[in-house]
Amino acid sequence: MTTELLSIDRLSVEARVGSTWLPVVTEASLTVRTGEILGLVGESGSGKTVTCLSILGLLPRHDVRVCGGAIRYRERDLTRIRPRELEDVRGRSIAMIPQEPSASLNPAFTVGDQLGEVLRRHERLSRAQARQRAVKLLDDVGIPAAAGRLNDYPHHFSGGMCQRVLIAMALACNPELIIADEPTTALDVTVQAQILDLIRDLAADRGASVLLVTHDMGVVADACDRVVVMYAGQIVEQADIVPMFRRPRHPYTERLLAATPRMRRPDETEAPVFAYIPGSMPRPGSYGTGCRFAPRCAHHRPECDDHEIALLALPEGNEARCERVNDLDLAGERG
Amino acid sequence: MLQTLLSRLARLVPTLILVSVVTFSLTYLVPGDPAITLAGDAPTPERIAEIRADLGLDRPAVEQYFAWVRQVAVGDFGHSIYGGADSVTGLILQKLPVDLSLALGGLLVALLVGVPLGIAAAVRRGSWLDRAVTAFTSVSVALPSYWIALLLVLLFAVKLRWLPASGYTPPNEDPAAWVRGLILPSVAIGLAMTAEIARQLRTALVDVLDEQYVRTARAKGLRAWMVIGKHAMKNAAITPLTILGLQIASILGGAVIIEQIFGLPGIGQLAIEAVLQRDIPVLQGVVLTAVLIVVVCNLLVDLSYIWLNPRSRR
Amino acid sequence: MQTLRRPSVTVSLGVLALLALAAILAPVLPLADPLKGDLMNSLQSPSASHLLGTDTLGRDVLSRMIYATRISLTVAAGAVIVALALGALLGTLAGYFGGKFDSIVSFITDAYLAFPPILLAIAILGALGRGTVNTVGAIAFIFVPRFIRVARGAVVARKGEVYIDAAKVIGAPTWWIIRRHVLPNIAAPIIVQAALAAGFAMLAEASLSFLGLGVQAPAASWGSMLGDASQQIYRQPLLMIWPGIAIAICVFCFNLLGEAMRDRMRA
Repeated sequence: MTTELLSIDRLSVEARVGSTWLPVVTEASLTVRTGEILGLVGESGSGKTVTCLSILGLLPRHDVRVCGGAIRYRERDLTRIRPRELEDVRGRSIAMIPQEPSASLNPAFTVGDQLGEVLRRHERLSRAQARQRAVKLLDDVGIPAAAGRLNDYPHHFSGGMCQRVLIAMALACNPELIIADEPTTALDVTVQAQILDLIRDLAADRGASVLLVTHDMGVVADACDRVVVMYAGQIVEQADIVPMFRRPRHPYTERLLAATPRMRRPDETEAPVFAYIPGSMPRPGSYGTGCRFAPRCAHHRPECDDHEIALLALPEGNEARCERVNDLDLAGERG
Repeated sequence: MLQTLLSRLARLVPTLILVSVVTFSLTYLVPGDPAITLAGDAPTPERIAEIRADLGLDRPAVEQYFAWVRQVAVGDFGHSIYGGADSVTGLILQKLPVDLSLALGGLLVALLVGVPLGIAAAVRRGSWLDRAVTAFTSVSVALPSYWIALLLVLLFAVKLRWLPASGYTPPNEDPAAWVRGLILPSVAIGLAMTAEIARQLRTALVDVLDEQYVRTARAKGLRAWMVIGKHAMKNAAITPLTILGLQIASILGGAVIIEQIFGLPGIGQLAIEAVLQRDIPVLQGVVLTAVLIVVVCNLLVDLSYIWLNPRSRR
Repeated sequence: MQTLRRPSVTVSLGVLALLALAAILAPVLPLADPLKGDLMNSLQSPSASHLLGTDTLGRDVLSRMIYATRISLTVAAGAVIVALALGALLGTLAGYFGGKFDSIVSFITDAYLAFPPILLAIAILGALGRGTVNTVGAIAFIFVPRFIRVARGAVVARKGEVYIDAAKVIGAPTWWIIRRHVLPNIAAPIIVQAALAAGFAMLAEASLSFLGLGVQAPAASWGSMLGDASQQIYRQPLLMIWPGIAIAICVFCFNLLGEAMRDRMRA
C-alpha cells in the first residue's frame, strides 16, 4: 500500500525583482508517494527548481520567499517549522542531489571530509566510522578505488564523478525522499544514462522515493512512475507515465512530447519533423488573465482567456489545467 | 609546498637588493660629508679621519655598499653614533618585544571584533547592521589612529582612570600590568585593521554565501554556524588575508605613532630619537628591520593562501 | 569632467572649497594673531573671546587652526602634485616605451611595497633634516609609486589603440603623440588617484608633524597642533579635539571625492 510521503499544498512563491515581488510559483500542489519516482518537468523558469528548493527551505532568503500554501511532511508543515527542526530533516529524512556537480562541492575540503560530514552530523559517528561508511558509499555509487579517493579534492574529480559523490552524500543517511534537481543536465550524454540508472537502482534498493526535476522528457520516460508538468509557475498536468505518454491532456504536455527528438521508426517513410514550440514562456509579472499557455497554444479559443483555469481532476486519476480538456484528443506516443 | 616557498623566496631577492640600496643611500642624503655626520656632535678632525678610514669612506661607493651588505647580512647593523655607541642590532632586539606585543594585541582586537562584524554584516545583508558596519569602516579609514588613541586615553585613562595612559611593563615582570598597559594601544592600532577586515570579509562572504556548495552544505542539514564557520569562511578568508598582508606595511607605520603616544619603548621610539639626533646607522637598522618584518609577514600570508585554496597546489 | 550629482560629492567639494577659502583669506579675516600668546590665559576652554580656547602659550586656538589650514593643505597638495608630476612622467614613459626602462621602473615600484611608508618618510627626514619643505619632499617620495603605477597602467592599456598607430604612420614625433593622444587619456585615472592620495598625504603630514618631525614651530599644521595637544591631555583635553576633527573631515572629503570619481569612471 502506498502512502503519501510529501504533500505540497497550493504552494505559492514570489521573487524580488528590483523593488517589487513577482509570483514565480502559483498554487502548486503535488504529492510524492512512498517508493515512487515522481518526475517534475518544465522549461527553465517554469518554477520547478524553486518548488523543490522550497521543500528544504533552501531559497535565497533575500530575494525569494514562500507566500502561501504548505508543504506537509510527517504531519509537519516544512514552511513553518523552526530552523533547527528543518536542519534535522535535511540530509537525514529528505536529501537533495543538486544541479551543477562541480560547483556543488566545496573546493577547500576533501571529498572524504564532505561525505563524512553528513554521517557525523546525523548519525553521531566517529571520524573513523564515518570514513568507513564513506568508502562503502563511494563504492556503491561506482567510484573505483574508493578508499584512496577520500583524501582527494573535488577538482580531482570529473563532472560525472562529482555527481556520483553528491549522490553518495544524498543517500548517506538513508533518507525517505531524494530530491534530484536536474541531476544529469550538466553532464555528457554518455554519462547521463549511467547516473539515471544509478539513482533509480539505489533508490529502489533503499525503498526511497525520488522527486526528479528535469526539462527532458526523455529522462522522464526512462525513470519516472508519475509525472507532474509545470508551466509559468503553475502545474498544468499530473498523470501516471504511460497514460501521459499515450494521451496527454494538456496542449503543453503534448508539445513537449512532440519536441523530444527521436529516430525515424520502421513504419514511417520520412524522418520525423523536429517540432518546437513557437514563442516563449511569459515572465513572472506579465501573466494575463486566463490560461498562461494561451499565446502559444494551437487549440486556443477565446474562452481560454477570460478567467483563471483551475486544475481539473479527470476520471482516470490524472489532472489537467485546460479549459478545453474534455474537447481535445491530443496525440501522444502511439503504440 | 617546499617548491612554492623557495620560489617565493627567490622572488624576494631583487626586492631586498633594492631595499638595501635605498637604505644604504640614506647616509648620502644627508647634506655634507657622511663622515662628519657619522662622527656625531662636536666632531674632531681626528675622529672624522678615523671614521673615514674605519668605514672605508675613501673607497668607491660601490665597494662600500658591498662591504655594508656583508656586514648587514650577518646581522651587524653597525653602531649608534650616540648613546654610548651601542650596537644597533642590540638596541633593536631589545626593543622588538614591545612591538611584537603591540602587534599581537592589535591583531587580536582586529580579529575578535572585525571577524564577527564582517560575518554579521554579510549574513544580514542589507539590514541596519550591515549599513552600520559599512559606515563604520568608511569613517575609520579617515580617522587618524593616533587621534583615536588620544580619545581613548582621554576617556579611559584621564576621565575614568581604568587603564594607564602610558608605560610598558615586560611580561616577565608583571603579566597583569603588561596586559593592562597594552589594552588601549592595541585597540588604537587594531581599529584600522578591524575596519578593513570587517569590510573585506563582508564582501567576500556575500559572494561565497551565494555559491552552490554553500547551498549543498545547508541541504545536508549542517547547522548554520557550521555552514558559515567552516564551509563559507575557509573560502571567504582568502581575500581579506591577502589585503591584510598588503596592509602590514602601513600598520607598522601607524605603530610608530601609537608608541609615541603611549610611551612604549619600542622601535618607533628608537626611530624618532634617531631622526632628532641624525643617527643614521640606527635609522638604517630600523628601516631594514621593518622591511624584514613586512617581507616575512607577506611570506606567511602567501603560505596560508596555499592552505586555504587547495586548487593552487601543484 | 561632468558634474557628479551625488550629495556626498557636493558636500565634500563644498567643505574643501570652504577650507581652501579660509586658508587663502586668513590674513584678512578678523582673527587674533596666531603667534601672540598671553601666558596668563593659557589652556583656556572655549569662551566668548576665544571660541576654541587657548593653547599652552595662551594663543587663540581658532586662529591657529585657520592658519594651520594653509600649511596642512599646502603640504598635502604640494606633495601630491610633485608625486603626480614625477610619477605620471615616469609611468607614461615606462608604459609607452616598454623594454628595459619599463622593467626597471616596474621593479622599483613593486619593491616600494616592502617599505612601511611612514618609516621611510621618517628615515628621509632623518637624513635631510626636519621642516616643512623636506616634509613635502618625503611625502612626495612615498607617493610616487602610486602615480607611476596608475599612469603606466593607463598607457599600456591604450598603447595598442589604432589612433596611436595612425599617428606614428603619418610620422608624428613621439613627444607630440604622447602629449596629444596619450596624456589626455590617462588624465582621468590620475586625477582620481590624486584625490585619494591627497587624503593619505594629509594623514601622512599630520603623522609626521605630530611626531615633531614634520612642520616645525613657529609654523603650525593640524598635525603639529595635535602633537602639542597630546602633551596637555591632562590639563586641557579639549585642545586635541579640534585638529583631529579637522584632519578627519578633510581626509573623509578627499576620500569621498576620489571614490565618487572612481565610480564615475567605471560606469
